[in-house]
Amino acid sequence: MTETANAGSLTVIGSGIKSVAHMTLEAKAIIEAADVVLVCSADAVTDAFLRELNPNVEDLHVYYGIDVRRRKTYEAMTARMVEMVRRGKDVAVVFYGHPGVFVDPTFAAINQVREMGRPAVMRPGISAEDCLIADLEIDPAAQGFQTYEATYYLTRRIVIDVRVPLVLWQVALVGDSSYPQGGFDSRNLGFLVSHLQELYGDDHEVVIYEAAQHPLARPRIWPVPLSGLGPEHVTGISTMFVPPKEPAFIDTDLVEAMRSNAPTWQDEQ
Amino acid sequence: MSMTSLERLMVNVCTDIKELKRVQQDPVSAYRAAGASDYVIECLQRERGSWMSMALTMTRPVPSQSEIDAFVGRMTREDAFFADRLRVEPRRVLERALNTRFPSTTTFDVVEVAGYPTVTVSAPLVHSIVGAGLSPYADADIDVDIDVDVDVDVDVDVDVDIDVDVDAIVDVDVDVDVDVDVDTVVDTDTDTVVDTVVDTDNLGDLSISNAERTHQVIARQWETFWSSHSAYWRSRDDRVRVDA
Repeated sequence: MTETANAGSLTVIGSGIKSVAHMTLEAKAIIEAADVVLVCSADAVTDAFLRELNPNVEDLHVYYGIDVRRRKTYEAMTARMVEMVRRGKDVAVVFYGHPGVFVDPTFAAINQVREMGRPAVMRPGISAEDCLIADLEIDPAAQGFQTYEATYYLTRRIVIDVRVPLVLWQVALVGDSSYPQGGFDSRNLGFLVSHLQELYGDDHEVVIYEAAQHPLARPRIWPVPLSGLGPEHVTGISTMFVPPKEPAFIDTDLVEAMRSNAPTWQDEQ
Repeated sequence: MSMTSLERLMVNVCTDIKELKRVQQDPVSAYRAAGASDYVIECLQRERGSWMSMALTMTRPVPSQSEIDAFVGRMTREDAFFADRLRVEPRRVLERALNTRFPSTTTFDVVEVAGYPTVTVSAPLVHSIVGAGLSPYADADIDVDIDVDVDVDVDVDVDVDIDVDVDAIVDVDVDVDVDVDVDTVVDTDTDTVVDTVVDTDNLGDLSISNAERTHQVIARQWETFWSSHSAYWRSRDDRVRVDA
């Protein structure tokens, strides 16, 4: 295709998790103004809404396939985004959730578009992590927050702190880079569970979580002990929340030292 | 692209809390007023995203053949990867790209009656939804047409539970696997919610150091926090709603 000089841009946005209810006004405005909208959404309501906002919608989900590794799919998505910008289009790319969380193609496309000398930006959306914090009522600032993609966590032998809440994403996909049509079979979940049992003990209760994808749907919140956790508990969109095993205590000597270091005006109050 | 009445309803509940509450009070009536069939209503009431999306997509009008041809022609010229995907999974790719679900009717033999021609049953078939592992028509009152070539008394229950998996329905020659399954009834086993009460006033031995006392307080606050959350999560345990 012919490259169009000094035209074309890429704006990557997230449509959130709970369908149209999570779409920001910023995202809506970007979609309406775009020449073409490339979409990878997770629900039919969002699809219908996007196609009404802008009829020039293409679905990126078609690049997934039962015989295609996800890496190849992501490369094809990236190529499509870049190609449309190369043609001089103002392109809006919409991924469900946050477009920078678990979305390789958006980062790759932004880099390639910038190398072409065209503008490329990312705008935030409501992520699954945001939903988890709200539904499980966990404040990351209260006791800390460790978060890893499950395969990365397991294969890199990441050292975690069992005193801090742990979130593991894509637990059903551990060690599985395919896109099976019948859903992921969680064949490697046992490796992850065994590892966690060594760290936390058999009876430690974790929560299998899935955010609601529509206001009329419900989140899935399923407490289960590690010893009883199996493939029947998880789907491709399941996240595992692991509460701390024990509290993190305060270094009282350090606290005293810092307190004595306070400016004098604080003592006067 | 204009929305169906059902899609409009599902969008409106996303942006209008009063509308959401109205639908939550009587979802069946609201869905029916929006034109949903009994089976679509059943899917929507599962309250899970994958089922709701599948149900909604089923209600979308199918593009005309000329529209499909124009789309396929353009995309296959522009995008070799898309063309390859279309070759391997034509139905799934087209349904996804065009935001629709193609109805199709496949006829398969069910029984031979001695002295009479084969009795056939025609059933509308839809791909299994990804991830659920079930045919959307499983356990549904599917619209089964019974075509009997001669006047023969055939007793067929059209409400039979049929789990049908079909590969590549776009192709003319279709491999059809028919399984008759009895639906598994998922037991509802609601765990008892236990409130945990921790007495934070009784800090124990007053002879312990400030550091130890601080640690005791932290430990009790910690236990209270997580036991409270555990009880909360159990109260929201929705395992009965798990798909597949």
